[in-house]
Amino acid sequence: MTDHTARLYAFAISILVFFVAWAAVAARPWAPATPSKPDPQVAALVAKEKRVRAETIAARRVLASRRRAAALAAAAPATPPQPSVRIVTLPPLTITRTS
Amino acid sequence: MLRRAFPAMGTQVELLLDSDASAESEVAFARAEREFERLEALLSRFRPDSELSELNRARVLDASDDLVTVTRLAVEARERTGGLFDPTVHDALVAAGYDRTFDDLAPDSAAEAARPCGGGVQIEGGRIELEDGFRLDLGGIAKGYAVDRAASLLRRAGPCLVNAGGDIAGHGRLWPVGVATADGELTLGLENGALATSGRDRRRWRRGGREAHHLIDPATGSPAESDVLRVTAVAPTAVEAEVLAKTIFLGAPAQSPAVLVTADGRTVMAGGLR
Repeated sequence: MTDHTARLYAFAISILVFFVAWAAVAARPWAPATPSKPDPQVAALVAKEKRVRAETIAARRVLASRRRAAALAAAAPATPPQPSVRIVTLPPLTITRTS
Repeated sequence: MLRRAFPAMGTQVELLLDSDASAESEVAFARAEREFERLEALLSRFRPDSELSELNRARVLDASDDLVTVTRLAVEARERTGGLFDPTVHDALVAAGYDRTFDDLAPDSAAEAARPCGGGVQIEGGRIELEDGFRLDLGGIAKGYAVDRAASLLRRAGPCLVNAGGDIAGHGRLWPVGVATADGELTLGLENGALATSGRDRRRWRRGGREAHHLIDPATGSPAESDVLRVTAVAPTAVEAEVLAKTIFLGAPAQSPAVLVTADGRTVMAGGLR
C-alpha cells in the first residue's frame, strides 16, 4: 500500500470516527430524560372520562334507589284515592236511587 | 258523551263514556256489559244454576275467584261493621217474603217467623264453607262489585261512569249525579269514586198485612225499623258505598259524605258533605 492510499484510508476513518463521536455526544446519554409537555387534548379527554365515570356511578345510584322505591310501592297494598264529592249546580247526567 | 243501557241484576244498567265513538269505545261497552252478565250468572241467588245457589245448596264449594272475592268482601264488611252488614241474611230475606226476584213478588202473602242471621262463613283458599242452616245473599255487594269491575274495564276507553240501579262508580272527570231529596233533587259532583243508595222506599211489599222491605236488621232477622227512608253514601268503591249505605240506614254514624232522607220528610247532609 502506498503512503498516499494509507493517508486516504486514515482520513476516511477519522471522518467516520468524528461523526460517530458527534452522534454519541449529541445523544447525551448521561443527561436525565426530561418529561415531555402534556398534550392539552389528551388531558381534556382524561378529565372528561373521569367526569363521565362519576356521573354514571351517580346515575346508577339514583336508578337503583328508584327501582327499590317502585318495588316497595308495588308490594304495598293499593289504596284507592279518596273520592272527591261536593254539591254542584250542574244538571245531572244520571241519577242514583234506591236499588 | 256515549251512553249504553241494558237490563242486568234485576235493574237497569247505564254506562256513560266521555269519549268519541270508536272501535275502542264499542269494545269497552261490550266488555262491561259481558262482565255484568258473567257476574250475574255467578252471584245471583235467584238463578238456580248460579255458583252462589250451588254453594247455598251444598254448603261447601270450591268456588271461582269472583265468588271467593265477593264472599270475602262481604265477610270483611261484617267484621268491620260489627255485624250490621251481614251476607248470611238469605233465609231472613226469604222469611220476610223476598223469595224471588222483586218483579215476581206477590203483593202480599202469609207471614213467616224471622230467621236468625250471623252464620259462620269460612274461606280457605278457594273453598267456601257455610255454617249449617245459613245461606248467603250477596245481592247488593255483588252489584257493587259488578259496577267496580265494569268501570275498570270501561275506563280504559276514557272517563266513564257505571250506574246499576243507583250503585254508581265514576272515573276520570267530575260526574254530576242527581240524588232525590225529601222535597226535590240535588246534584252531587262525583270524581273518582262511587256512591250507592239504599232504602225502603222501593223494594217493599206486604207480608201478613204488614209492610216489609229488603233491608234486614241482622240483630232481629226482620226488615229493619228505621226512621230513615233512604241513604246515599259515598266511598272509594261501589262495594264500600253499598256497605256504608246499608249500615247508615241501620243506624251507623255517617263518617263519610252521605245524604239521608227521613220518613218525616227531612234531608240531612252528613259526613262533611256541603
